[in-house]
Amino acid sequence: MSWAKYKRLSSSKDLSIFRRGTTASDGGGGGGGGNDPDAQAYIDALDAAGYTVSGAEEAAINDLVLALKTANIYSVNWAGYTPSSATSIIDLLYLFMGSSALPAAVNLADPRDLDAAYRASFVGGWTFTGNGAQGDAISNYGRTHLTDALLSSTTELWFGVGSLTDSNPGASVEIGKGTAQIQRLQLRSAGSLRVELYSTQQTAATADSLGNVVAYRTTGSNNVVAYKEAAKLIDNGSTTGTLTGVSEYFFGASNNTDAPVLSPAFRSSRVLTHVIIGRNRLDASKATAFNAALAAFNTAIGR
Amino acid sequence: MNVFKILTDEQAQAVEGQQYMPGAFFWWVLDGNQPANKVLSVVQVEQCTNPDFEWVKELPLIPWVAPEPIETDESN
Repeated sequence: MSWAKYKRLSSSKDLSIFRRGTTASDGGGGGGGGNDPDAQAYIDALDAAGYTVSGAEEAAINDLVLALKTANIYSVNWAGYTPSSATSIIDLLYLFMGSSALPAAVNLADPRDLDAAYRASFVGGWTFTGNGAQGDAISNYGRTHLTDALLSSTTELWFGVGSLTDSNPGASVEIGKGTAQIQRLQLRSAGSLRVELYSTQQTAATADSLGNVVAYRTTGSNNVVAYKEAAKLIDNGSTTGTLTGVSEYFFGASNNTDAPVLSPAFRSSRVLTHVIIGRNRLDASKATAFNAALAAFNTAIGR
Repeated sequence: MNVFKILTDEQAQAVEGQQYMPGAFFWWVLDGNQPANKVLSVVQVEQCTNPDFEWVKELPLIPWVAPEPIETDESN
């Protein structure tokens, strides 16, 4: 096996042939001719990364993409996207498919194998079981290659994560960056869901760290809101701030710096089933639809 | 819990930015000993399939001593 093809930290491998292919002749292949083209592009990228999805997984991916589009949550790369303030945008959505790093790294919102497509990079100790990605809590962090500078200062950031692990450590960050303007999501630390989104930390007691959480800032009040599945746990911390950071968003840890360097801290050892970072505000309807779509996806593939 | 102790600066430099399996990169950390050791987690070493880094499996195993937290939960 040649390792040269795997040296990808600044890869420029072109997977454009896998985008929106729906037939074998246009690069789709895999018998997915009836799938949504953006679901098929992700399926094809998984295949290129060495993972062949099952029929049940293919159907689940297709249903997920269709559910997100129905909820008016799009990637700018997806068919049917039209710029609108009513449309919430997914910049990255990792579903951590497959039992190795390469397929787990593929971004549903842009499945090209590029840092610029926010394809994940796994650093330190990670294991992949098909149920998700799990850090070792000693050395792990996940790179998104996404910074606030790329999102622009006027962006309304939102993010979310899912977990199969119930634990309650002192500090365990699932998504995070920054020390001055901290943006972080902790599913459960010291008994509470903790969200920093333009604001000081907002918390809500939570009984476990299982399931799907998504957080955003509301229209009008600018409160930080967090939904765990269909339940609103946080609605507080009004702020008028805008994005100011320059450091990269991590998953499975926080990037504990405001500089364009890497400084992992607060590592999580939970099995993560998905990580999402997006822009343009969610609302209650979108947030609950998003969590429901991810829950249905996980159930469909046996997670 | 154990970790693999990196013995030399050259070894530490050798693994930096390198993949232990396709798509996953080595990352050594400092442990909580005084002086601190540079260590690789067992997860990285046991999953290492990169033939250029088979030698990491020969590094000595030592008990993991977590470093002091850099921030309290309250300020986090």
